[in-house]
Amino acid sequence: MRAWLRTLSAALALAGCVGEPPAPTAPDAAPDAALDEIADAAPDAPGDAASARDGGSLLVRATCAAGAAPGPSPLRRLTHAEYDRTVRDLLGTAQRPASAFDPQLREGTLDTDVSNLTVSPSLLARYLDAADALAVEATANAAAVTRLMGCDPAMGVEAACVDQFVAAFATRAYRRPPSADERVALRARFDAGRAAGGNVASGARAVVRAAVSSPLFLYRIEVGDGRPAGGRARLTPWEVATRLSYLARGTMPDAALFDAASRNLLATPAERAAQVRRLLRAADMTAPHPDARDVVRRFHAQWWGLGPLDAMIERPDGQRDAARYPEFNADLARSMREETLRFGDALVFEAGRVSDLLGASYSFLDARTARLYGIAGAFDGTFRRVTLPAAQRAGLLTHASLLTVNAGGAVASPIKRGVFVLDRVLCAPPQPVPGGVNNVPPAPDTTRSNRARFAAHTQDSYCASCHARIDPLGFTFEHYDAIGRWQSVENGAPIDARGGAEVDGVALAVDDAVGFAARAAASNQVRDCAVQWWFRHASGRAPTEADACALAAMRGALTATDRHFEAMLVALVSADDFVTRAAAN
Amino acid sequence: MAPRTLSRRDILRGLGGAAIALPWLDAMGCKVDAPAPYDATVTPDAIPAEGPDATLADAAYDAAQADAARMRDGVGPRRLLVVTVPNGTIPSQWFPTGGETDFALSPILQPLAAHRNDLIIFKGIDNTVTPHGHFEAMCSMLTGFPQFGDREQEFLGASISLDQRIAQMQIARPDAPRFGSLVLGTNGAQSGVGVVSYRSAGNVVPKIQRASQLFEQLFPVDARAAARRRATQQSLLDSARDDYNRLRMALGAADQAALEGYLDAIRELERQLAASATALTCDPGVPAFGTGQNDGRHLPEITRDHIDALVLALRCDLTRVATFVTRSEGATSSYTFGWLGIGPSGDPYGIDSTDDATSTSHHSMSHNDATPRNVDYLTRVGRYFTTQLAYLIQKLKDTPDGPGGRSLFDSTTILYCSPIARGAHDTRDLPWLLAGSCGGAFRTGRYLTYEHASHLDLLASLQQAMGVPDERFGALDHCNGPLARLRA
Repeated sequence: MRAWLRTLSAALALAGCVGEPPAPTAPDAAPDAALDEIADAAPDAPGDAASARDGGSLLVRATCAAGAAPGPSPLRRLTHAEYDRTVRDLLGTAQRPASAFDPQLREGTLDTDVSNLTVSPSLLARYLDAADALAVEATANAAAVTRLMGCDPAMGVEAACVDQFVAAFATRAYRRPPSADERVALRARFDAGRAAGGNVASGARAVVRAAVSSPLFLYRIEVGDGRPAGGRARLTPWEVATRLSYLARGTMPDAALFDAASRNLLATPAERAAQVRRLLRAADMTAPHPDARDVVRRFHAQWWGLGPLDAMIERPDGQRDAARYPEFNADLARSMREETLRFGDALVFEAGRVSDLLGASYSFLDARTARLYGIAGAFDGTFRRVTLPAAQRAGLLTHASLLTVNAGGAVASPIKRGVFVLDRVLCAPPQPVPGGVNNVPPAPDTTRSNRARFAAHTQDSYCASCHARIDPLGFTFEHYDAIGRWQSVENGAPIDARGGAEVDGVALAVDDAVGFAARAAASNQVRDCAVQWWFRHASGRAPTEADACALAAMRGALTATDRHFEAMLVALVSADDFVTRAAAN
Repeated sequence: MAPRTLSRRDILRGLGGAAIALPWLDAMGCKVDAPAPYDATVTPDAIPAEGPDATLADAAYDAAQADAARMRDGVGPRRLLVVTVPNGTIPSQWFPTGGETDFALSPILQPLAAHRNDLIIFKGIDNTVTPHGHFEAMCSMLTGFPQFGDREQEFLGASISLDQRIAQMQIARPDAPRFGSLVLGTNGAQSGVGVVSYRSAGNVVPKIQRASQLFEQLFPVDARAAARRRATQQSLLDSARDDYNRLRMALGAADQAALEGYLDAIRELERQLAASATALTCDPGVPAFGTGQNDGRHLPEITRDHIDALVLALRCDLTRVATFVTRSEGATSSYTFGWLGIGPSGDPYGIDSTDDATSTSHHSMSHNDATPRNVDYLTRVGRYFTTQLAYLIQKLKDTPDGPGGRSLFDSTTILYCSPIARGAHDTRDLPWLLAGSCGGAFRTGRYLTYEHASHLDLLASLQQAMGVPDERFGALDHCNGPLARLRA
C-alpha cells in the first residue's frame, strides 16, 4: 500500500495524460526526485497488497485443499430490499418501510456487501419506527389479530393461544425456533402490552414490534450447531434454510423451506440443490419466481454498473448532447436498462451459458432499442428475443445500456469502456486514477478521430503504465456512439476499432468489440470472473484463497456440459462451504 | 458585578447537569456573591460506565468545567462547525496577498470582507495522509487515515472523524447537549465522496439532507406524537438490548465486533431519547423551509435552509458540533451552477454530463482550471460558496448567546475546507480557513503561512480547543501536535 501511495504521490509532478505530453504543474515540486521515486517504487509494486491495483488480477488462483477452513462468514444485516421483502412475507404488509431508510449502496459495490450493512443511530431509529408502524397495521382490528396470532384468544384458553403465537411468530421472525429465554422475553412483552392497552391486540402489537426491531430479525445470525470440527462450525438446518432463501429469493424462508429445515433435510447436497431450483422458479417451475428475478436483476444491475442509467431515467435532460442525440430520453434509457436486465434473466432462468455473457448472438429488444440498433421488424413496447446482426453486436458488452453508461454526454469514452471490461468482466482492474493527472479529455474535434484524442496515453510512458491496458480494449468499442448506436464512419473517415487485451495470459489482437467478445467469450478468465462476482453476491464479501473449494465447484459447474448459471448456483449451495463457517467466526 | 435577570436562554442552559450549570447561572446573574463550588458528587466516576473511555470521560468533565468558567465571563460553550466545499479552488484567486496581519482578501474571499478580522486563512497546510484524489481525500480529511477498503469504489473512512471524536466527548459531558453532533448535506452519496463523518472505521454518519427533516428532528411539532414515539423507541431499545445481550454469548469474536456498530447505535439513540425528554425552553419559531425535492436542483435554497436550521439548533443548544457537506466531491454527479450562469442555458440547475474540456460540470472544470473561461467560472463558484459562509457567520453574529451581549459566533469556530486543493486534485496547499475564535482559543484576523504543515496539526488544534485531551489526531506519523501560532 505504501509503495502504491508513494508511486501516486510521485505523480504529483506530472499532469495531463490527455492530448498533450505531461508537464510539471507544481512549481515547488522536484520533478527529478519524483521521477527517481517512480523508479524506486516500481520494482516492489507487484507482490504486496497493492498488486491488484497495478493491473494485477483479482482472480483467486489457489487450488482447493481438502479439509481447509472456509473463508470468513461476516455477520450480515438484511439489506434494505431484503428487509422489505421479509416484512412483506412475515406480516403480509404492503408497506415498504425501507424506502424511508438511508440509502446505503455505494457506487461500484453490491448492496449485499457487508461493508454496506452498517447501522447508524438514524437507521436504528427508522427500524424502530418501521417496527411500530408494521405492528400497528398487523393488529389494526380483531380479524387481523386473529389472523396474526393463528388462534382466537377469546375462543378458549388465552394463555395457550398466546404461547402458541409467540413461539410460531418468533420462529418466522427469527428464522429459527426461539429459545426458552426468548419465548419468555416475548411473552413478557405480550403481557406488558396487554396490561398497558387492556386488550389482546395491544399484547400482540408489542410482540410484533419487539420481534421486528430485534437484532435476531435484522441480522442473519449464524451460531452453528455448537459442535465445530476441523476448523468448521456446521450451520443449523435453520441457518442453512436462511442462506438458501436469501440467496435465491432475498427474503425469509417460505413454509416448504422451514419444513425441510425442521425435518433436517438440508444437510444433503441433493436436497439443497432441489430447494434452490425450486426457489428460483414460480410454482409452475418454468417462469422465474418474481422475488428470485428481482434478486438477480438487482445483482446484475450492480455488477454491470447500471446505476447511472437510473439517474438518466430519473432526469434525462442534460445527460446527452441534445443536438447529437435528440432521441435520447427517459423512455429510451429505460428500454436500454430493460434489455440488459432481460438478458440477465435469460442467463440465469433460461439455461444461459457463461459463454453467452460475451458471446450471445441474441438479445431482447423493444421498438425503441430495435430502432437504435437499426433492426427492422415488427416491434412494439414489449421485449422479444431477436438474433443480433453478427457483425455489429454480441453479448452483453455491446448493449446500449453499458455503452451509454460508459460514455460522456457528447462522445463515447474508450477509457470508461476499457476500465469497465477490465474490472467487471476480466477481474483485472487498473489502478485508480493517480492524483495530479488531468483525466478530463480534450474537447472532441471534427478534424480527428475520438481515438486520436487519447494519443498522449500511449506516447507518455507514465500514462501508458495503465493506459496500455485500458485504451486498446476501449478502442474496440469505437463503433458505438455515446448512446450505443453503431457507426462506421467518424468525421468522414472509416472507424478504426482495432485493439486488444490480455485474456487467459494471451495477448489478443482483434478488429473490434465483436471480435474481442468472440475470442474472450469462452475463456477461463471471463468464466472465473463471473463466478467471483456471484460468489461475492452470495457471500457479502470478495472471495479469498480460503474459498478455493467453493469457487472450484462453481467453475466446474460452468465448465461441465450444461454450463448453465443455474448449475453454478446449484454447485454453490451444494458445496460444504455453504453449510459451514469458520469455527473462529 | 451588576445583578442581572435570568433569561429563558439561561434556563435552557440549565438543562445539562445541574452541577455544571451552576457557575453559568451564577455568572449569568443569579445574585450570588462568590462562584458556587462545583457539586462534588458529580465526578468522572459518576458518568455512566457505558460512555466512552475513562480518559475521554475525564476530559469531558474538564471541558464542561472550562466552558463553565468561560460562561462566567459571558461566553457560551465552545462550538465547532465544519463546512466542506467540493473540488478545491483556483489558488491564484483564493490566497490573500500581503502578510500575516496586513493581508488583502482575494477575489474568492472578498464576500467575507465584513468578517476579515474574524478569519484565519492558511497557506501551506497539506493533507500528507492521502496526497491526491477525491475519494482518498474525502476519506482522510477528517479521519486522518488513508481510506479503508481495497477497491477504488469501496473507499470508506478508516477511523473516527474529528467531528465525531469531539461529539463523543460532548455527549460524555455532564451538560451534554441532545445531539453530540449534527451532520448535514445538500444531496448526494451517503458514503465515499459524499460524506466526511465516520463513527468508526467504515461506519458512515449519514447526512441529514432536508432542512425540514432536520427541523422536525430538532423541534417536533406534535408533542404528543413525539412523546409516544419516544416511549415506543425506548421500550424497543430495551428489548433490542436484551436480545443483544442474550445473543452476544453465542457469538464469536468477529460477529461480536460486527455488532459493535449496532450496540453503539442503541446507546446513542438511548442517549438522544433521554436528552430529548427534557422540554425545550427555547422557541425556534416556525421557519418556512423549502419543501422541494432535494435532488440537487435547489442547492441555493437548501443550503440556506440548512444554515438557518443549524443556527436554530445552536441557539437552542441542541448541539455544539456540526458538519455540513455543501456538495458531493468529484465526478459522481455532473452538477453545474445554473444560477450563476454556469451550465446549460435555460436550466438554472442543470447538469452537464459532457466529460471533456468543454464541460461546465464542477468536476470537469476543476480539472481544466487553466483556461480563462474556467478560471472565471470557478472563481464565481468559489465566491458563491464563500458567500454562503458569510451568511452563516453573519447569522451567528446576529444570534445572541447568553445575557452578556455575546453572540453565538463568539464561542464558535468554523473550519471551512475542501478535501483537495485545486485542479490537479492534489492535497497540498489546501484552501482552508477558520472563521471565529472558538471562544478565544484562536487569534483571528490573520493570514498564516506554513512550510508544509500537516492538516492533522490543524485538526489537533481544533480538538484541543474543544477539549479533547489528545496531543495528536489521526495517523501519528503525520501529526506533530497542535499547529503553531494558532492560539490566542
